[in-house]
Amino acid sequence: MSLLSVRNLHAKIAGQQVIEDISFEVPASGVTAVLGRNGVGKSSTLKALLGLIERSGEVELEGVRIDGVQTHRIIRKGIGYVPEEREIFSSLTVAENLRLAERGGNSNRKMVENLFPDIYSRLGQKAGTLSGGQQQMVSLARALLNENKILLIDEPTKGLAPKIVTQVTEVLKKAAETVPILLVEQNLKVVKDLAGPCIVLEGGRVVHSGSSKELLDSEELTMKYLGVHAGGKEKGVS
Amino acid sequence: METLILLLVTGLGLGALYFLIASGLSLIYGLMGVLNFAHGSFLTFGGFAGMEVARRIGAETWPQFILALIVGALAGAVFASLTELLLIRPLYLRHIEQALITVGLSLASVALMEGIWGADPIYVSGPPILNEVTEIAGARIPNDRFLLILGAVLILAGIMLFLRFTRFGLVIRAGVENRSMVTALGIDVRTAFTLVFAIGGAAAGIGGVLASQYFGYVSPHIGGSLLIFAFIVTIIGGLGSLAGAAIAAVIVGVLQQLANFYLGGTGDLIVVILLAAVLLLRPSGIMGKRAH
Repeated sequence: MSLLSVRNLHAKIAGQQVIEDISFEVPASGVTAVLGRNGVGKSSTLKALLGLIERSGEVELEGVRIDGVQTHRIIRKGIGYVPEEREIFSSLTVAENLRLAERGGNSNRKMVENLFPDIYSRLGQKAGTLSGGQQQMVSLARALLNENKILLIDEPTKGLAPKIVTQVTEVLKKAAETVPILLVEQNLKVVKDLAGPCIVLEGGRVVHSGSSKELLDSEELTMKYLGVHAGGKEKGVS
Repeated sequence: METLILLLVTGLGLGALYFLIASGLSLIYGLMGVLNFAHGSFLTFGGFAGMEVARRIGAETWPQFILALIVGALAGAVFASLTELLLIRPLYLRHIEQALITVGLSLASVALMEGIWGADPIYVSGPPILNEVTEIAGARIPNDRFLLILGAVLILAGIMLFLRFTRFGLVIRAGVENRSMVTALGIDVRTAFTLVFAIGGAAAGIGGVLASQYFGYVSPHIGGSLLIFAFIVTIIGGLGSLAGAAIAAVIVGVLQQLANFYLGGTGDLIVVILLAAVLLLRPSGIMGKRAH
């Protein structure tokens, strides 16, 4: 049985249709990737699931409809969200960023502290003064602090140095052992390392779904859907 | 020299009044993006509530006067909270409609208060010491100026401590920076909206009681006349910044007094020129931030 079920999802931003009739399922374990070229609606899909943008259609979490529910209530049902631009609160300290995210009760503080020792050594530092990689760690830590049923993670390696990308990939790999992840990612190496199933978007619609490995191993499919050579450097996918 | 000291302290007192309105305006805009034209009405209502206390039990002793301040603060907070819950919340994210409805509320509440208390000023009294003067370096300064300054400093410190050390304060500070991300962390940011209105209303309500001491009367139009300068203070200080509002309130109050005395009553004009300069050179204000 799937954990997250999406049927006929449509979404708009400022009156502009960005997602048209998307349907897909997210299994209850592992990493599911959302792929596609720039601007095809990948980030918008995550935002639409959370009600952060105007949307219609059916979204079920463990068989319970959440599409008519306010964003903060959806999150409290057990969804962790890591946005594309990290969106940490730069004027707050690292400790305050984490405190704000903690929903009480089943906190994973110990586990998060083990995963991100660097940011826990900078608790009093203003989050805006951290490096891009450290800010991404804070953003990931916020999502991992709570016992979630699923994580929605949007381009966690975007703009990061290769060494940090490796660290982030390792963190996601560990996280995926305990909680399923719906991952938007442009870095195909990271996708290959992490993802099981994938869906590919184009023009706000699902144009392909199946195994990430099969897609990325196929020269024809990667060129057709992602505009890059299989196993090669991404081009047009940034 | 005596004149300069008198002008400076009077300017600080006036700035304190501006701050008591601007603090709420700034927090409300910073968190919610709402331009609240009804904020002056919170001050007026607080002033009338304090006046009613004074009329019933007197305000000549400090306990009586402090009670008047508390009632003024509560009146402002309740009026502001109801405004947020009943008028602003149903128009969430519709900023033009929200601004328009606060304009309507401002006009309607002035008419309502005229209906209840009349259009003429009602003279109020306070502890006798407020009618006396204190001499500083030869300048004879009315004591009510010190009360205004003290009131604003305490309110500023109180709000700062609240924002710094409470969970709600943390939510408000984060919300001023990025409202939608606060929601995406599972926090109902609407509670913070009501709270910010209540805090702003309470500060304005206290401002109403203090303004009635400064002017010597309370009238239905007292809030409206202060609101214009409070908006200017809010913009110069930077929308959403409490510290910016405090700094700008001092600058505007003092500049206004100095220009009125030394430049032939041009205080208002100088303040508007300052506003224009800030908008041209530093549109985000002295310490401005914007909510997402």
